Amino acid sequence: MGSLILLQAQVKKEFILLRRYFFNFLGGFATLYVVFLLLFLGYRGLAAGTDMYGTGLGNLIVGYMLWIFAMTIYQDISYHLFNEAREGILEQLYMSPFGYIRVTAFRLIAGLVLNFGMAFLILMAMMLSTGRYLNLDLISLVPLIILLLVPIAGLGFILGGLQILYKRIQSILQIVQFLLVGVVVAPINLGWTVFLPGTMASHLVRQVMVEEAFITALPWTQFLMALVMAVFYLLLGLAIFKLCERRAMISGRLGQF
Amino acid sequence: MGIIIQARNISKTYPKKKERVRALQEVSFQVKKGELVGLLGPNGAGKTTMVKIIAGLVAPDQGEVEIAGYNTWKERGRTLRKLSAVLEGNRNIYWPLTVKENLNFFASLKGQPPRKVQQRIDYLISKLNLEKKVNVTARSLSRGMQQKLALAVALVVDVPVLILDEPTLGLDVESALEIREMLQDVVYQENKTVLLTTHDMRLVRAICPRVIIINQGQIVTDDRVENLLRLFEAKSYRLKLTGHLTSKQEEMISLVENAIIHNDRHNGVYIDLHLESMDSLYIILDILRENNSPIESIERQEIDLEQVFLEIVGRRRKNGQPDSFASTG
Repeated sequence: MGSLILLQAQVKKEFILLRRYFFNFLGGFATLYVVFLLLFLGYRGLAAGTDMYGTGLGNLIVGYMLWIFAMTIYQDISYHLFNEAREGILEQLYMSPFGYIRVTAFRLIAGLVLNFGMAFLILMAMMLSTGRYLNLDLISLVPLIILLLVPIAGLGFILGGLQILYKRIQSILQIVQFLLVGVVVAPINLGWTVFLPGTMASHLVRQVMVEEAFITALPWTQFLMALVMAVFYLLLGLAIFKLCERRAMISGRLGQF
Repeated sequence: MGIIIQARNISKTYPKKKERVRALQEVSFQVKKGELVGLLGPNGAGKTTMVKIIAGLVAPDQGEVEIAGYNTWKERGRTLRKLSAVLEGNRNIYWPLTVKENLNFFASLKGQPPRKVQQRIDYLISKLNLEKKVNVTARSLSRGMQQKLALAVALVVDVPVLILDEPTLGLDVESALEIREMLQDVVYQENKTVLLTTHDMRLVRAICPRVIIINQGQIVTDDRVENLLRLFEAKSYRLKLTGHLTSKQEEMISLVENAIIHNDRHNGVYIDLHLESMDSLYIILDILRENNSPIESIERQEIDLEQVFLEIVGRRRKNGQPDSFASTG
């Protein structure tokens, strides 16, 4: 019951902020769309007329959409934490009987609705602009996208924890944000890349959207690997976050920025 | 009244370069249910560390704190259902949300659905004169309004303990007065327990029956304000002279501890004396007798809390040890 109250409050807050800062949302949308157009024009210049053009374009669209997903969930943890500490609200959130991790997790879930909305709009815009229409089988896509986002959330918790402890790590946060591009577009045939957070799930999403495979047609070993990586990175992220949080409380640096 | 805050042997050090700086050393005290206690001390004395340990935000090196019987470190969730805190003044609120939205959100953060605390929210808004600002974002409020909102946020759910770090810092007289009244209501009408840190002696004098003074990480005094004032009043005298002192007399008196000579053009010469023991008074009388300097009067001095505080903290600094009159209240 208490958790539901917290979730409702987080959803309401996210919608209030969206309404209040709608032009920010539009600005973000426009920026991401323009960046995609530039990527698309570059790709068309290089690959137009080749056999792989259609598949490559599909992969570009899916990769870009997944990067937006991954980036927003990652930013929702790491940058929010920085802002909350800077604005002085972090200690209040820590004083919730639900605990900071649950408060953050529910904010992520609340934000996910908006992230899905943003990603869907950009996906539509990308498909309309390029004329490349992809398979939007939600039954297959939703669980796979969750398997992509969960390990990225784990990565966010790792960086969030380090931020609580070491404070000024914004440059690292920015670098990791761009490394996420590699994580979502990396091919799995290199072997080691399957151990990256979300790479296997991202590959499966491409199978559904570009190759038009249904979820039951995907290799179960790959699905299992995506699941294992999701659980592993989430648990690793939470463990590192708790460790950093504890050390920050011991050194008295929790709310300082 | 039962004990609701129990701090036992709290010690805390912070790392600083290669050393460790001591913030608190074996601090122990109790606060009874329904008490309003001021935690005083100079900057860097350890007050904020103490309240953050009570709020479960800083881990002590040694010792433990219990709130309503729950250990703040080992039983965090349960403890946090028993207390609210304002630790960063006007920064403890979401700046992009309005007054009402903040109150609703923080009620939920404590596990209460906003509709269940609607009456409470209306009461707090009215009591703190925030009616006209209900739909204004916190960012657009004045500092005083923001601080009042932060207090309202802490009071929005019914918890028995309220911890406040500098609740009136930087406020205008009117806002400080409203917060003062609100705190009195919280204690005397709602029977909550309030522990506040402050440098505002007027606030302490007006609302705190009991003070705990911390200096250099140790409790140097824990007593009722009226006891401290009485104690220091009994020890403070003003000797008024009809004539002037010789330079030799001035020099000798200046060597007596806690004796201050005032040469006032209108009021003549007088000596303020804070007595550690009666010896100081006899020494000064001997010095005055040497030149037959006539004494017009010897009066017991009115003393305010600020002087008491400075005396206690100043003496602790000189001695490096807790005062002999430190007691548990």
